Amino acid sequence: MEKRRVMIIDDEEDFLKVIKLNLEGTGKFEVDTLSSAKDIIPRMHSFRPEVILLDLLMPGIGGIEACEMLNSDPIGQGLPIIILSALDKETDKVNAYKRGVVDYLTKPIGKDLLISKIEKALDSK
Amino acid sequence: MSKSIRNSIAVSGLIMIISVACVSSGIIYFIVSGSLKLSPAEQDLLKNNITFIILVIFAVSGLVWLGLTNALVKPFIKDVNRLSDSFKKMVEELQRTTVSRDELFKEVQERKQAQDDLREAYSKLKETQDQLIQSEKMSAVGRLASGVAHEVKNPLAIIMQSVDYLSDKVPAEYREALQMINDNIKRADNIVLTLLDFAKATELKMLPYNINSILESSLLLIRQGAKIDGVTVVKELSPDLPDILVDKNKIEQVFLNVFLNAIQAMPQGGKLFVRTYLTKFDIPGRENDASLGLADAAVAVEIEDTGVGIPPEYLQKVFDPFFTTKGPRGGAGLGLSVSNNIINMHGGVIDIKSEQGRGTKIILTLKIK
Repeated sequence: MEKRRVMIIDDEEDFLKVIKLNLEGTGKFEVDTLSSAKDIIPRMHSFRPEVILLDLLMPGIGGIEACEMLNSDPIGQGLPIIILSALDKETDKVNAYKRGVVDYLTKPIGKDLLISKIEKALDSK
Repeated sequence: MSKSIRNSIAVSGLIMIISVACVSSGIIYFIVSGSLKLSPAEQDLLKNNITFIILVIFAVSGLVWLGLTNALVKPFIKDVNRLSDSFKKMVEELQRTTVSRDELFKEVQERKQAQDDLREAYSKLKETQDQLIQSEKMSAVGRLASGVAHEVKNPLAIIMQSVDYLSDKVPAEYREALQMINDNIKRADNIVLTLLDFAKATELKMLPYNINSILESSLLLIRQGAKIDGVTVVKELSPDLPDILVDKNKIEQVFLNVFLNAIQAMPQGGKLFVRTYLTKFDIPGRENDASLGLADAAVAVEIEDTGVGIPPEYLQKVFDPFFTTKGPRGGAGLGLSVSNNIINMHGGVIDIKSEQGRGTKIILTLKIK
């Protein structure tokens, strides 16, 4: 079975490591991680993700800005984006959904729930 | 006035002199004519002479009297005039005093009104200032809570994912420990979520609601739990409550907190009384604080359980953040603290009364504005 490509952008390096371990450990996913959103477009060209997990609060380019970058670039348009953030405010969620994200998950989140959300987003493609 | 007095004295003096002269001339005539045994002709002569003499006496006495009157009464009249002037001045002074007394009374009334207005304005200002300070305070706590929440949730996310990773790798005997880690991650996350309620409490969406309808919808949410725990809900809701401005979700959150505390306080089952009534806004021990708007019309909500009660030494602490009597698995100890904050943000008060072994009563009072 072909592995589904997942790109995760989060400034927490440990979080990236452990998520990569968990997702790749299932044998279902191939994971690429980025600790900053500034290189997101060039990396998209090389990795070609099918779904993106995106943090909101990051130094430099934030999650909302990253969404806008993806929406305005042909390579990112129509790509399912899941927000995975510690922010839990309604306004943050509304702002994210306005940028076309398919789901908004709050940290902390367990492995099983995260995998089911990723699979759901992939199915909606 | 002085001339008329003088004339009156003169006229009365003249009348007196004429009277005395007439009486004396008659007496003289009878004495003389009786003692001398005069003939009728002599008697006529005597009468005419006496009359002449009397007339002369009358004229001389009159002149003397007029002179005397003039001389004697003049200084007296001066005194009378002075007295009259003084009296006039006194009357005028009295009139002026009366006028100024009226003005003074009016001024006192105006000042009293101004003082009342000032007191009312000060009271409103103080109330607004208190609300502003409270709002600022809670806003600062809210910002802090949001920051802390974000910083805590990220490491919790890493721990949770790491535990999930390990649970597939470690031997079965370690899985219980991993489960404990996971449970406590969720507990810590719940504390963070409750902390975030502090932040959310600063953003009230005030709309007019009937407090009974909010109570009814909150009771629906706990109905099942209450039934399972053998708790009977007894409603005594006043039908006469007016709508009041509240944030429905926040007030619902307060009711749920108090209901859940009440149910947890009755492990053997019991009764949960929910009462509403109209009252006067009152804060025990602060009757003299004009800034609080005491005696304003208010709606009271009483939630009373027949549970275990709270020991007196804990009663003062129940609204403190992180204070709990339920042990580590009972909750973060933020429920009543958050509730108190929400009610304060609405300009209301929470009071608690409890008796060990008898139960606890929470009274929420919200002003009708």
